[in-house]
Amino acid sequence: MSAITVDGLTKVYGSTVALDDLSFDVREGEVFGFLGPNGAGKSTTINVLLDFVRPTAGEARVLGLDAHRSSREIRQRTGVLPEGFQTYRRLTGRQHLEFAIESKGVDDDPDDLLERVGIRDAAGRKAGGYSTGMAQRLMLAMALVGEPDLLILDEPSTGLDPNGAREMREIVREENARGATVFFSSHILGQVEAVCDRVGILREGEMVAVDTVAGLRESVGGGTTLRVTVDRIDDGAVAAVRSLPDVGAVSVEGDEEPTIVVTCDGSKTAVLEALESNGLEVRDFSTEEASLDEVFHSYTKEEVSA
Amino acid sequence: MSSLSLDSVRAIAKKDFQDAARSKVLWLLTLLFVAFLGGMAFLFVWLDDLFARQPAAQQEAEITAIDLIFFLQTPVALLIPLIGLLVGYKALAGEVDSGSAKILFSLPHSRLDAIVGKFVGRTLVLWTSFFAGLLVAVVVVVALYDEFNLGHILVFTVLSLLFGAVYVGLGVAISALTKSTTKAAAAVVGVFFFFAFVFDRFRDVVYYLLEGQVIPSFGTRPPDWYLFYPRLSPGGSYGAALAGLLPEVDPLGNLFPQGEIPFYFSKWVAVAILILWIVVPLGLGYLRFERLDL
Repeated sequence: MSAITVDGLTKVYGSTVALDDLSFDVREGEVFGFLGPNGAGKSTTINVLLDFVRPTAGEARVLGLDAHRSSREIRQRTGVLPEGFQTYRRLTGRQHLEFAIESKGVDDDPDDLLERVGIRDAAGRKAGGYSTGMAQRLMLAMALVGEPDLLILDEPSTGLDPNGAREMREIVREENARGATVFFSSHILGQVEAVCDRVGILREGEMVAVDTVAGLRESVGGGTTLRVTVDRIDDGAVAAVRSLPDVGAVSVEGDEEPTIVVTCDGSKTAVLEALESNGLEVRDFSTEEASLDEVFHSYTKEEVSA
Repeated sequence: MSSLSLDSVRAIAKKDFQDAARSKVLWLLTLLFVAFLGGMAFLFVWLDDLFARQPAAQQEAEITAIDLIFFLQTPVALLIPLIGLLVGYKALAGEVDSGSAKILFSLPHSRLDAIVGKFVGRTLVLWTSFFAGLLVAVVVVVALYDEFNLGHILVFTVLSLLFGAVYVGLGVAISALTKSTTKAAAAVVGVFFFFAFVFDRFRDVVYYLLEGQVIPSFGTRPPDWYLFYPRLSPGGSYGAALAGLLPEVDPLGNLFPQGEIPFYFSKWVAVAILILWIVVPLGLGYLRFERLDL
């Protein structure tokens, strides 16, 4: 079953098209990374899922329920970290948790949850005095109330230092291991790669790719880059490499240490053999994965370059 | 239509009250009501003593607690709208404006829960302050004054609380109509002046169009609608209900010397109008808020 189904979703604000016929699925039990540059429509999508805004056209279902008609039940079973929220500045961290616990009708311990997100010490302080990162942690604690079936986290790492972002990912993993589906948006790739089963890339209100991280790498062409340092450059050898199947771009770099850079999906040894059989001496070689940043940019730039 | 959950209403009202209890507003309001109601009671007793010493006034100096109530009524009818609107106008617009509404609606609350919860929470804020002030006034009256009728004070209290709820409700309803706190503030100022100075004047306009003069000539008995119209405003229905429930002073008898009083001049109609002033504005606010993109 799907935890989230978005079907033909369109949202128009005045003359701005925020979402354009968007469709995708999030499977139950997976960690789904919802990627895209700022302004791509990530928050608008999440706002529709939570019934904060009403779509112009299309339908969204969450946990098998209609996002508008059954919104209360959806939010009863979902933990949310919204984007652009502000805490009740006069209420303490603990009072925030108590409000969430009372609202969901469960009997979690506020201090345990605050401990889990690392702000137990600030439980009795007014949230108005919290830093952005602490407010973010507080909101995450509120999202965890009542062991939700689904976590919707909108840019959860906002205001967190690298250590905080790592702790956030750790909690995402724990919640997923408990059985929760996690849907989180980000414009930063590093956070997604480590925890997501699948990633969807949103651009200008449209989903341009949905795949596993490895799958996305592959689809952008030449998952791996092979750098071979040789004794000299030979045009015939380069041509031989280029003619190999599964080889993408081939380029030549360096004068002191002539290097042939090859992107390829297939066998690396085939490339090395082709060079050696053309009389070149292979002095060194290394491989590197295409960085997810490159993958991301190739999808979010105007033209997809392979 | 979204559903109403009493658990949600309670959670929201409680949070709102906690929030207000930590703000200076609640304490300032309480201080204001204490100073005002206590001060008025003291002033009243003092004036009473002063008049009682005048030999000519001796016979008519039988001033009762009812007189204190009507002494308080006019200023209360001005103070409560001001404070009620002030307490209510940020309820929803403030949360949407600042972004804390995203916390509220991340939790399983409907838009209807939010409106009702906010109304209840903020009405309790007003009531608490008013109650504190009234308590001081009662202490003054009991300490310095011989006659004290608990029943009369009770009627005054209940109707004043209801009247307070009307203006908190108007404030909350207005705050449901807009996302901007500034617009909500402008609107409540408008509403205050409308009921304080404009509402009753419509009657004069209509009377002028019908009769060619602004007020009935001396000695002419005005038509029933002319007498009834002022009882339609929140302040008017509050005054009418108060007069009707404290029968010694009800002026209706004078207005209808022939005896036949139409049913819509009854005190219960006045109370019903007061209640409608709570339900209708909040209902309209809800209809708008339900469709709002947060």
